[in-house]
Amino acid sequence: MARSIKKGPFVQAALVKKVDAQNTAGSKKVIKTWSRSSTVLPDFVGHTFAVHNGNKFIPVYVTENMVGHKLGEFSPTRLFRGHTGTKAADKKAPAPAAAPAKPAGGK
Amino acid sequence: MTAPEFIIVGRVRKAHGIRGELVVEPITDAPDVVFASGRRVFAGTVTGDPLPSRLELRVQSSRPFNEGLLIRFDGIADRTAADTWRGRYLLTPAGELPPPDENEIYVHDLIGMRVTHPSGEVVGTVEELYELPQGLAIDVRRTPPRDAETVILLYDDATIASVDKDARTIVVTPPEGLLE
Repeated sequence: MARSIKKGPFVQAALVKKVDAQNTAGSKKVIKTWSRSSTVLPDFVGHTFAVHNGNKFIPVYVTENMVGHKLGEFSPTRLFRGHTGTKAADKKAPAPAAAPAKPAGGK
Repeated sequence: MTAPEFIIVGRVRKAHGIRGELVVEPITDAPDVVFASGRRVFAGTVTGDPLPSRLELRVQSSRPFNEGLLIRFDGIADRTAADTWRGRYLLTPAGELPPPDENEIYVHDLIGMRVTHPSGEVVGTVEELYELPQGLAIDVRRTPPRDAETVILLYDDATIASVDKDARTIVVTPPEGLLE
């Protein structure tokens, strides 16, 4: 059964307080939270939350299309480790920027 | 950290048809190269280890099939033989992989890299990689005295400033407060 509209979306009060404080101060510090059931509000957009998954904190940068979802949706509790042990997948990741200049004699 | 000898390039999902074809889920960015006709791959176990016998499979033919590939290997001629391959990984020697482009790095090469701030302060060492809905993430083991902790950093343009493949160093600019 859906949540009553009268109540509005659930958000942990302490979380709203922290976001409001940061919005007032204009800062964007990471907010650690265990409140996976908190709904993402429009005020959260642009903030980064470290959402606990029961083991670790997963960084979640909130964008507009996340509004209305729960924070826990972006912090999976079962992490896909790729292929374990000495086995690694033949996948490439972009190295975002050019490597810094090497010392003389480097290739 | 030593580089792995074999690299996983695919996983057999199931047998297909009665002529020994296998449905293979490619775990590589270049399936058309790795599974081209005439190429060899090495048989692995269901956990991804190479077989002690280093059994070689040569690709006879391959074609796209349901977001995977339908591959026929030499020596697998019927459904019964193909069924025994279900769930097993296929590997290729690390030395046979095409070198990554200038601005690319193999994901497995990230493990063991040193992670530093732009100031040179060491954050830790990459211990694990995760595929999150947000994209690739690296799990970094902190340096002593906080070496009991790990911190997850997203492998995105905002967080990763640069990667030096030769020096095996990743320079990161994590969001403020994440490393506290």
